[in-house]
Amino acid sequence: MDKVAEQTVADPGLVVRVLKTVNSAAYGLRRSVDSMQHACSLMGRSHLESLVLSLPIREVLPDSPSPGFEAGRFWTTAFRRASLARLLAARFNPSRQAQCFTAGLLLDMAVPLLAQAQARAMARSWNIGIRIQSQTWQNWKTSLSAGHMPSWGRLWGVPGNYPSTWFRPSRNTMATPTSWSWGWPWNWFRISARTTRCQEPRS
Amino acid sequence: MIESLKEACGIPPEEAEQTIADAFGQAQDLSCHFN
Repeated sequence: MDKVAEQTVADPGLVVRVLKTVNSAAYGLRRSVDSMQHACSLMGRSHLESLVLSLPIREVLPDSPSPGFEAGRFWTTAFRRASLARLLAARFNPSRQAQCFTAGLLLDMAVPLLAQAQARAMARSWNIGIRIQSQTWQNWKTSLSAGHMPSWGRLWGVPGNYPSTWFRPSRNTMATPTSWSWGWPWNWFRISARTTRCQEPRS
Repeated sequence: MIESLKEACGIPPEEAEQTIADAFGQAQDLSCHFN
């Protein structure tokens, strides 16, 4: 853990995040922690690893790639999937926990990039989303998830169909788009857009 | 989701429920860095 702390000190942004985390109310410490060694030992390897993996990704992705895109919802879904992937890996293939976390986290990172690159098309699609959801879902599913997840699973030697579990739409996704589901991309967009048109960006 | 874990991984519903709760808790800890 000392080596990890030494490496972490090289990144001032990460130092701030780590210290902020351990000094937050969640840890309930009476005295503030100002040493990275102490902070790293308090956080534990798993949490620290997740933070180190996540921060660079967060920094390179756009905050508001497209009208209606909700970054908070997007990240919550990504972290839930990543955390669940790691817990399942801990059960079936413990040596692959970090890789499974990364895979779960990265699975839909193309979405904000696509949303930024195709902001106008995304806003237009969202405005007529209810009518085209079925086809759109099939396109997203093919291009972003179901196609490659089983391949990754085989590559990492995880059993059966469990990689596809990371990205399985709930049966009632179409009926209740506000509910959390495995991968419905529109979950990260404002539900209010169902009744309120998104403003399409000027090209 | 619990059904999915049972079908795909053979995890009993009670364990699946706990696993999901743990994952969501960890995700909450992590997402606080991003909001």
